[in-house]
Amino acid sequence: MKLSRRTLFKAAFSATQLALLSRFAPRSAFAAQTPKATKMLAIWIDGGCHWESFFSPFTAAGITKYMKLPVGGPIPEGYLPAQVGNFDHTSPDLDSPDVRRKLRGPILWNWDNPSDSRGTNPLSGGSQVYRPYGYSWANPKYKLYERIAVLVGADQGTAAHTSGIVASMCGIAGANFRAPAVQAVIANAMAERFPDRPIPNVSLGGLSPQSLTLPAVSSPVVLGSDASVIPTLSDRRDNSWLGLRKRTDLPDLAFNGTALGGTVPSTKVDEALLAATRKYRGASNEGSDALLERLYDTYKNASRTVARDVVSILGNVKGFEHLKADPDYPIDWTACVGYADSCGPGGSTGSYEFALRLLKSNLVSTVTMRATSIANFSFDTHFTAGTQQGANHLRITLEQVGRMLIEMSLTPASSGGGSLLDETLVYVFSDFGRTFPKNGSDHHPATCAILAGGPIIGNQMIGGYDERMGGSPLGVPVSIREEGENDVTRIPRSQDVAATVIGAFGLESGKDFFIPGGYGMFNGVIDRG
Amino acid sequence: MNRLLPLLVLALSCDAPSSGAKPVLATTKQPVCGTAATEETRAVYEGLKAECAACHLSGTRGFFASLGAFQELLVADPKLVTPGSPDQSELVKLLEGHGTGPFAQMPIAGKTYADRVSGKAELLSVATIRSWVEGLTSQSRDSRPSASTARITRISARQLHKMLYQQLGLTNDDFFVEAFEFTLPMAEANGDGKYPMLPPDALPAPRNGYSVERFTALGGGSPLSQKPPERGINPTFALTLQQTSQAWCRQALTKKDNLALFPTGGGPTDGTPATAKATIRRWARHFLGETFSDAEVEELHTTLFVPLATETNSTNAYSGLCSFFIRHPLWLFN
Repeated sequence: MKLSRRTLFKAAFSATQLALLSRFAPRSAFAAQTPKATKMLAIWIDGGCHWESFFSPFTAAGITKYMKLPVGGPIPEGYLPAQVGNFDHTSPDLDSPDVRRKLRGPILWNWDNPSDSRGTNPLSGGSQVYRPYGYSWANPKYKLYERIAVLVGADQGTAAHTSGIVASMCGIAGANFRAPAVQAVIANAMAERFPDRPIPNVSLGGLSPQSLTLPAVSSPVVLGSDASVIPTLSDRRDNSWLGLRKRTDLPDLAFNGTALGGTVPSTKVDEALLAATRKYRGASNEGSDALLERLYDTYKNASRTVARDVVSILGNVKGFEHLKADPDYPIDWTACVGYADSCGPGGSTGSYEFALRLLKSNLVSTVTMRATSIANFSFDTHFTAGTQQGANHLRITLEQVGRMLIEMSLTPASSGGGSLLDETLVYVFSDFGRTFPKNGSDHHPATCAILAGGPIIGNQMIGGYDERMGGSPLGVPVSIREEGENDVTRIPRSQDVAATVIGAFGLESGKDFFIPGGYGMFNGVIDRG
Repeated sequence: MNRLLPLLVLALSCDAPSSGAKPVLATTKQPVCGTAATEETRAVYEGLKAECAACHLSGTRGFFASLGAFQELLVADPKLVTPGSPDQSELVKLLEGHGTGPFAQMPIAGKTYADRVSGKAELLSVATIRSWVEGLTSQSRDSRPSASTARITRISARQLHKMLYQQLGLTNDDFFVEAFEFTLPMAEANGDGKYPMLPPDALPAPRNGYSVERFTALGGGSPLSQKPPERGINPTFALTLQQTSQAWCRQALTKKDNLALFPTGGGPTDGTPATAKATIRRWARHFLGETFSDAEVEELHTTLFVPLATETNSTNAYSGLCSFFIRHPLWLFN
C-alpha cells in the first residue's frame, strides 16, 4: 500500500487528534526546505551524565559556585574558570550572560602536546595531570567543533532512568512510549524517499526506539551484535533454510487485497502465510484487523529484508578505514583512567564499528546504539567518587564519539556529495543529567543533548543553568519556535529536543510529526539555507 | 476463523440507545452504549488535550487517548464531573488548584491550569469549561469494552517458547549441555546453529548471550534484566521467528523417536499425497486448534507442500509446512 505522509499520520493518530492538529496548520517554516540529513545515528550514553564536567555553560561565578576546585592528579575532577577554554582554541567570555556560547569546557589536554598524559596542568594550580581524552573534539586538523551543537539544560520531566531514556527518544517522559521515538518518525519519513533501505530503523542496544502505530516499516530491527545479523537477516544457514530459500517475485498486495504495484520477493512459505493472513481481515473488529495488518506488512518487509542479502552487503563495507591513516588515531587505541588504574580499548565503549558499517552500507536510515566507557562502565555514578569517575569516563566516551564523527566526516556520502557526516544527524543523549559535583552524583532532570553533522550549526552551546539557584539548577530560557511558528523564550523541555532532532530532517511540525503536550524547535540550531 | 467469530458477535451485541436507533459498530461511529460525546465535549477535549495529553494518553487515566476515552473515562465519571455543577466537579477544582483528592491541582506542579491559560484567548479558559459542565446532562458509561479495541493479543515469548517445546517435542537437551560456572549449573548451547533460546532467568541459566538475545528478539522480558516483555509485532520478532521456527521444525522432524509431529509413526520422508494431506489436517488441529476443510487442506497441499517437495524433498517440505503453522496468525494471536 502506497502511503502518503498524511495517510501515515492518520494511521498513527486518531481522527480526533488530527482535528486538534488542524489548529496549527499550515507549517511553512520547515516544509519547503530540502533537508541535509537523511540518516541518523543516535548514541545513548547509559546511565545519566555529568555533562558539566565536559562542557562548561557557566559564567566564571557559576563555575566557582557549582564546580569543585581542581583535584585528582591523573584522575582530574573539578576545574577553575581559568581552565575553561573554547574548543576552537580561543578564549571564552566567561562573563557574558548570552545563552548562546561557543563550544567550551575545561581544557584538560595539553594544547602543545595533546597526547601528553604525564605532565602537570599548570592552570589547575598543579593539582591535575593532563588528560588527552576529548581532544578529538578540538583538534584543529579536523575542526570537529564546527559540526557540533550542544543543547543545554533541557528539562526531561523525570529523574527515573527508563522514563528519561523514553523522554530523550520521543520527547515525553514515561514508563512507556506515548509518542513514536524520533528514530521511528525519521525512519518512516525516509522510507518514502529511500525505499531501497531494507532495515530503516536499527537498534544495536538499549531501549528499542518504538514506532507505536506508525507503519510497520519504521519498527525497530534489534541486532544485539554483529553476530546476530546472519541468524536474523539472512538465509545462509542450512539448519533453517535448506530447501526453503527459493523466492519468487509476487505482486505486492495490500492487506485488503488491493494491488500496490511492485513485487514482494517471497518464499513459498511466505506466500502461503500472506494469503492466510489476508483471509482473516474482517473476521473480528477494526483493532484486530490493525494488528493483523501489521503482521502482514511485517512479513512482507521481512521477505524484502532477507532477499536483499544484507550479510553480503555488510561484508563488503569497512568500518573505520580513513581515520587510521592519521597516526594519532589508531583503531586499536587504549584509554586509561588515571595512569593505569583502569584501562581498556576505546572501541569497546560501544558498537561504533558496526554502526558505521550499517550507515555506510546505506541499508538503514537510523541506527541507535548504547555507549559506555571502557570495561562497560555506565554512568549511573551514585557511588563514592562517582563524580570523579564519571567525569573521567565521560571524557573517554566522548573521545570515542569524536573519533567516530571524524571518521564519518572523512567518509564520502552515499548520496555522492559531501561526507557521511553531512548526510547524517548524530544525536547523543543520556537518561538525564546528574546533580552538580558539590551535591553528589544523583539523578537530575536538567540534561544536555549533543547534535552533530547534517544541517547542524556547529560550535555553539545553546542554553545554560539558572545560576541564581543553589544546588543543582535547572535550565535557563532559550529562544524556541513553537508549533504555531511563534518565537518564545522559555526553558527547553525534552519535547523541544526531540522536535529539533526531527526538524533537522525537514519534517513538518503538525503534519509529519506531533508530540503531545506542546513542543517547539530550538532556534539557531538547524541550518535551513 | 472460528476463534474470532464470537468476538465479532460480542462487538455487535451492544444495546440500542434509548432513542431506539439501531446500534452501530464503532468502526463507523463513536460507541452508542453510553452517553455519546457532544460537539461541546469535543471542543473541551481538544482544548485540554494540548496541556494534558502528555501525561494522560495511556493507562488507567488515559483520558486523552481518544474522544471516546475522554467521554467514557472522564466526562461520564461522577467522581470527576458532576453534570450541571462545576463547583462540585473535581475536574474544575483540579484545574483551579483546589482539588480534594491526592492532587491539589493539574498539572501537578507549577502554575495551575487556570493561571496558565489566564489572559490567553487562544487557550481554553476555565470559564468555558465551567459553562460546559453547567450544560451537561446526566451521563452514563458504557460498561462494555470498545468495539474497536483489538480482541487479540500476540502470545508472549515465554508462551511461544513453551508451546514450541511442547508441540515440536523438543527439550532443553536438544539445545544445551550441562556446564558449571563457580559450581553453579549453566545451560551451555551446542553452538548457535540450532537456534537455542532461553530466558535470562531460566534455571539452569543460559551461558551464551545468543540464547538470551533470541528470547529477547521474540519479545521476552526479564525482571533480572529490568526489561519488560514486549508483545508487539516488529521486524525483529518476525525475522527471528522465521528462522527459529524453520530450524526447530527441522530439528523436530529429524529427532529420533520424536512422535510429536508424526504420532502414529511414519515420518517426514513419506511425502505421498495421502500422508501429506493427512499431516496438514492433523497439524491444523495440533498447532491451531482448527479443523481444516477439504478445500483448505487441498489448497495448502497444492500451493505449499507440493512445490517445496518437488524442488527438493519431503523433509524440507514438512519443515516449511510446520513453520507455516507456527507463523500463522491463529498460532501467534490469542
